[in-house]
Amino acid sequence: MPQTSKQARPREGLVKWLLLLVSLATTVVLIGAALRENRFADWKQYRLEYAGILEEKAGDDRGTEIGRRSAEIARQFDPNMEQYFLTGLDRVDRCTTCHAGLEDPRMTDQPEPFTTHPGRYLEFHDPARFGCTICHEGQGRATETADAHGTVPFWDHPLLEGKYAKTACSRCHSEEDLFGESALLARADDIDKTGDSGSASGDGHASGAGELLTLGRDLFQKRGCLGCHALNGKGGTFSVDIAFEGDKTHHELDFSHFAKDEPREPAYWHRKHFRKPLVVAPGTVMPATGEDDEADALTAYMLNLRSGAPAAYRKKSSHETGAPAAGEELYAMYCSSCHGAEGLETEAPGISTPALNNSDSLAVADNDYYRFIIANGRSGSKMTPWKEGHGNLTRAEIDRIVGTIRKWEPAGAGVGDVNARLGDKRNGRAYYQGLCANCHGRRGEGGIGNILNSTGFLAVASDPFLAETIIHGRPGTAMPSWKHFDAQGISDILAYLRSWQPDSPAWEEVQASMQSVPAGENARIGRHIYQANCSGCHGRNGEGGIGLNLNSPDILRVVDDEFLFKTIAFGRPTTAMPSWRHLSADDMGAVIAAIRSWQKDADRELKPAPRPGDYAVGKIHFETSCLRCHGENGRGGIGPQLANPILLSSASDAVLNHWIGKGRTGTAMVSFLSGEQGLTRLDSGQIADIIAYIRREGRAAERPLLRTGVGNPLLGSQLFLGNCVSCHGRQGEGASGPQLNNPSFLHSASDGFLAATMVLGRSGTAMQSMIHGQEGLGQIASDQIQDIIAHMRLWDVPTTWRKPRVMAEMSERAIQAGGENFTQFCSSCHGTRGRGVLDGADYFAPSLNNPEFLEAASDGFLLATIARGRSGTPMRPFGLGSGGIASLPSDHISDIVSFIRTWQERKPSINEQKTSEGGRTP
Amino acid sequence: MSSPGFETFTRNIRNLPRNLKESLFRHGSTTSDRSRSQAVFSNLFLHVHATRVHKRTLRFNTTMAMGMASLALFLILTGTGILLMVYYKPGIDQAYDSIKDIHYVVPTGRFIRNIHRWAAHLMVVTVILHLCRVFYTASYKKPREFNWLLGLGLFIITLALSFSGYLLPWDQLAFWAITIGSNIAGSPTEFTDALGITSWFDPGSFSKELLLGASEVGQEALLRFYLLHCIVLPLALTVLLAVHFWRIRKDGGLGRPEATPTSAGKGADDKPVPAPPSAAPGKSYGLMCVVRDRTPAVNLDPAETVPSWPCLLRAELLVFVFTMLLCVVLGLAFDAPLKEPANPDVPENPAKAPWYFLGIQEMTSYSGFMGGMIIPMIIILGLGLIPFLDREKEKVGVYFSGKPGKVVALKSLIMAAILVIAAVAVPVNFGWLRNWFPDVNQLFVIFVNPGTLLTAAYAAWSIYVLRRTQSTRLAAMALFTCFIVGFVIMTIVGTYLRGPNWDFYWSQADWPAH
Repeated sequence: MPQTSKQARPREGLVKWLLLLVSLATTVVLIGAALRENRFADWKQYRLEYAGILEEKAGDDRGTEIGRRSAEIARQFDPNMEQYFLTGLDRVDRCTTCHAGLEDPRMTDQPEPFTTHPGRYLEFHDPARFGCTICHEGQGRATETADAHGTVPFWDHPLLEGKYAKTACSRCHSEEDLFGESALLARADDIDKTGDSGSASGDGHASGAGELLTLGRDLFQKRGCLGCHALNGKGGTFSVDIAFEGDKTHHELDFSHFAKDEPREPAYWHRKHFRKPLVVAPGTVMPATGEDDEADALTAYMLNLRSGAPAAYRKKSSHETGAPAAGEELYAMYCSSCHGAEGLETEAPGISTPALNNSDSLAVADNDYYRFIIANGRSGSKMTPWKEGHGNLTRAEIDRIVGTIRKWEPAGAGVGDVNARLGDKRNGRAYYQGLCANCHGRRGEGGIGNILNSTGFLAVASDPFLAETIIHGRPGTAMPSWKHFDAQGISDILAYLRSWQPDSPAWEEVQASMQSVPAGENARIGRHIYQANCSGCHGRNGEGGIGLNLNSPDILRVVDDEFLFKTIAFGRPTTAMPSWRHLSADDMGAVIAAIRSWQKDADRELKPAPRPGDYAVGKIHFETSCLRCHGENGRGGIGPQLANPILLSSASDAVLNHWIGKGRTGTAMVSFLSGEQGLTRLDSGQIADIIAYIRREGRAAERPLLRTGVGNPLLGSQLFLGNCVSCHGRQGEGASGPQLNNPSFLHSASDGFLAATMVLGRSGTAMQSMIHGQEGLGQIASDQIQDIIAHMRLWDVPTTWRKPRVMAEMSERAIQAGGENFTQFCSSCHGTRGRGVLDGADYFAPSLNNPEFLEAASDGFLLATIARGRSGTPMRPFGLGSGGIASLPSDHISDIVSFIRTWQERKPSINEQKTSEGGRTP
Repeated sequence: MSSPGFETFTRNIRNLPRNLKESLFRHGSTTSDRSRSQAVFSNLFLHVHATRVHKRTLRFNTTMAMGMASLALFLILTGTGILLMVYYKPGIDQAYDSIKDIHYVVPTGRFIRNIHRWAAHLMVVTVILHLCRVFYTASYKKPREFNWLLGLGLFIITLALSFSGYLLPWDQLAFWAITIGSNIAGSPTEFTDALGITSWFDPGSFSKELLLGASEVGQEALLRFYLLHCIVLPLALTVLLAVHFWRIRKDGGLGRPEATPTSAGKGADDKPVPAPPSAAPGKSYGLMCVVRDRTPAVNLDPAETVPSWPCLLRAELLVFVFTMLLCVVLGLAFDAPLKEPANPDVPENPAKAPWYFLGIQEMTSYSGFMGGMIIPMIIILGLGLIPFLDREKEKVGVYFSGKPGKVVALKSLIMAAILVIAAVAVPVNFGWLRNWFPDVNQLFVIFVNPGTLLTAAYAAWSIYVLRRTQSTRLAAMALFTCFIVGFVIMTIVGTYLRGPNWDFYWSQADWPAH
């Protein structure tokens, strides 16, 4: 260190000067800061400028009252900062510090920021309550232009301008108000367009914003966006819930696939995401939006999805919540993006959804199938569950969607239009061999489907029953619907089926046979035939039961032998009276003789009608006097069916006239001529009118007589438990015998069909006559049969989901054989385990091996689909003679279904297994 | 009319200004050394100074004025901080808005907040530089060991003050920086997890929850940080600061080279109290003679000293005003950042701690426990132990203790830079254990990572220097240099070269767009 000098204070001068300099500099800088702070702030400049404008306005009208008030306003103007302190919104908006003229109607001619607020918005939105930023966004606290408008880094909600200017209305206004009847947005657009207030800036810069937003909402609802995205918890679970999409700042959106120079703005993100979804989010299945303006509209709608303002600010909808959305609307909202607007094709990339609008799948799948798949989704595919807790659709909404899907199905021929007599059995044969034989067998011997070629069945099954079953199928079983067939086609098929029935002997043959044998002898033989075949319904001595009491003078003395012949030979379709056309002429003659033998007195003289009847008048009389027993249009009820072609063709007017006029002893049919039991008296002319009416109604084709309405269900349930459960299951769900609680079956089968089947049994099946008590079955009286039918009718409630009957046999043999067949025929498309994938590669067939599909699809669904294939898809028919890749016999197809069922976690219960192993009774 | 009583009264009124002045400045005008001395020791605030200081003390090179600048910054921070407290509301739903109000509405609020912000950053810088200066001039040696420890404590409190202030604006920057910081505090869990003992011994979660009052940064954390920032830490700093200053004087002022001539300095420990030099005023010496050890002016040649008043005070005032000017200019030129309101749902990526912790954050990217807890603790412990391990007496007050020291420091600088760059570059380019052996035990990763290896390499280098030079001072210097270089380079890497997911980028322009 150098030796110190004598100078006591080294460099003291330098320090002094430095101190002075630095102190001065600090002072200068502080003064500069003070000036900048107090004198040159943006808002202070604006305040001073506005004060000038106020002075100027006051000067314009000097001397007038307006001028005086203007001067007062100018004098009271406070050049300090102005703010709305919005406690309810937890906001502070200082916008009016610069935008000072917003509420002053005189400022329309002034430039920004002093101009009047355009439109009449402030009338409804008091700035003292709402402030500015709740609608316009921006930074209410800031006092510098860029900061306040929020166009700075670190402010996430910049001013809403131009086409997105109206996306914040949804904070307080409900969707219904904004878009619905009162259409606030459209009204707001009008105000902006016309410049209602005469404002200079009513230049309509935001006038299209409401329209754009409305378009966006329409698109949103029609394009099925909700299929993947939930909105307020309702909608698809496949992608994100977009309820608060408009609240998202750029931090919450993934900009990582954007170029560096692209703006980091939510609106820009959404727009690009709509236009080029695969660029913004690689791998997405979101379909691209074709048009720029559509992308704009959808973007506006996204920005409009915001969390609400505090409850006190939200405006209750002034409208009732609109009618619940129709099925078509729901389908468009939730389904159309994947399944296509018409259920045919999809715009979404990477989604291969099954076409819903496919006649084969519509024919095979019942409503319960759709309901279940919609509610529970189909795991392993992109079909997500829609029930509560997932997509949050209500049951009613799902039902309406199913209804919409159903509408794509053709209506199907009317049952009434089908007439087997007009059918061409050669055509019918061709249809049958191509479409029916793969399940019902080439000669109707049965397979997957029921035995059709059963004399007993064909005798009992009326044409309407068969037609109804063909047209509408039997949901829950393998019987699909055939709605694309017209009435003629069905008639052809029926004609073919009827060709299996033997031809009835002609009346002349029977007549000849009766004349060739002495009546007593004939009756003796006939009584044996009668006991075997007829007594079950008509009673041992013709006293009646389910059937008519034949041993009645009102029958025997009135009708002739030909009437009896026609009734026996052709039956009384849709009632329990089957056709006995298979009886020989001799047998038939014998039966007629046997019946005739009960006749004690001579035939009555039958009076013809006094005049031709008028059917229109007859209709009125019918409805007052006959309808209660004989049903509407004479379809039958407690009383027999009158509008029945066979009846009408066999009974002459005189016969009818007699019955109506004199009544029928021993039945509820009273004499109308005498007006017994207080009933209306009819004269013979009125009776003629009624007959005319009946004849006219009977000209129409056969109508099914569904319900007679007699019988006690309570007794019936006991009888059913005692006699039927071992084959048909406790609830008629079917076991070795067919399912009875099938709504479609109950709908198409008339009481007569059921009764006749029970009385007569069904030849070729395990169904035995219940009257005769064969093979250990209890003997049942005919009225008890009515009770059982009444019990069965209770099952016919169409709403509940019923587990489809297990039809496939779950034996080891069947499963193994099915596995081999599956590997050979199915695995090349569906994969060896039915997952639709093999070795990681997607196969073009849907995954069968997923729990929801296996639960929803009945065995019948699977059987029918395998047998008949699915048109419009690569799925070929595999049934015998269907011309597919392979012709598999029914039992092979059934084995495949057995194999498929092994994937199901919840295997059929032991009970079901046991019974189904008992034999697949068709 | 004139009465003696009245005359006395009017005279007293006339003399009021003079008497007032005399009562305030009782030493009269400072024309003599005596009165100058009196000016110092009769003033509560000034008497922490010796009445005379060595001329060397006033040279800029001796101290670089960093200690004084730190004090000045602390005073500025206290003043501006109190002003900010007037408007600031420590609630999570109010904090951000109150900062917005301070920024936009409160007159000069933005200016005050800017000054506070920049002064805080500057203070961290000056404190670190002060630490370096003290180390490189070996001013920690006996008898100043304790003051060195006090200084270390002040350093830690300074960092804590700055860090706790970070959370208060409740913006994204604050929230995620504090989240990182508290995660470092919770990093022992990583270690206990690896040992599998977390369920019954979890110091990590404990310290984190102690800090935050909850498991996540929230209202509790904000209130705690507010309390720490405004009361606990400033009080602690003030107390330690007082002791720190007092020790300076008790330890004989600034460290001086032994070669500095003194007339009676040597062996002061053993000698009886010498008689006061005749030229010097007596009273103060009398008091100080009670004190053992060297007192600042005792036994010094008056020719080498200058009176503290006004020379030292004027220099100190200059430093103060200059520091203030710097803060004011920075405050006017650059606004303190305020990002979006804190949003716990949207993490910043990358979320970065305050810059002075980025070196540590860089090391925590290898292992939170070692990088965030153990290595910093080793460094603090090492710094604290330096005066007790290095007890060579010579070369106090000389930068780098002379030429050999400069060489060692330079070599260490190069060595440390190479090592730290390698420690950063190797994992960036080749990955680390987890990438090479995905199934490696976590304990292994905790203890063998670039951070620990670097620390070990620095230690090895220091030991090598010790063996080569047989000088604990040089070895300490090597180690200190290594750590300083490591700190600086790690901080630079953490600040500028780390991007989203803590990946390496040469510049922010290369960050993946978001």
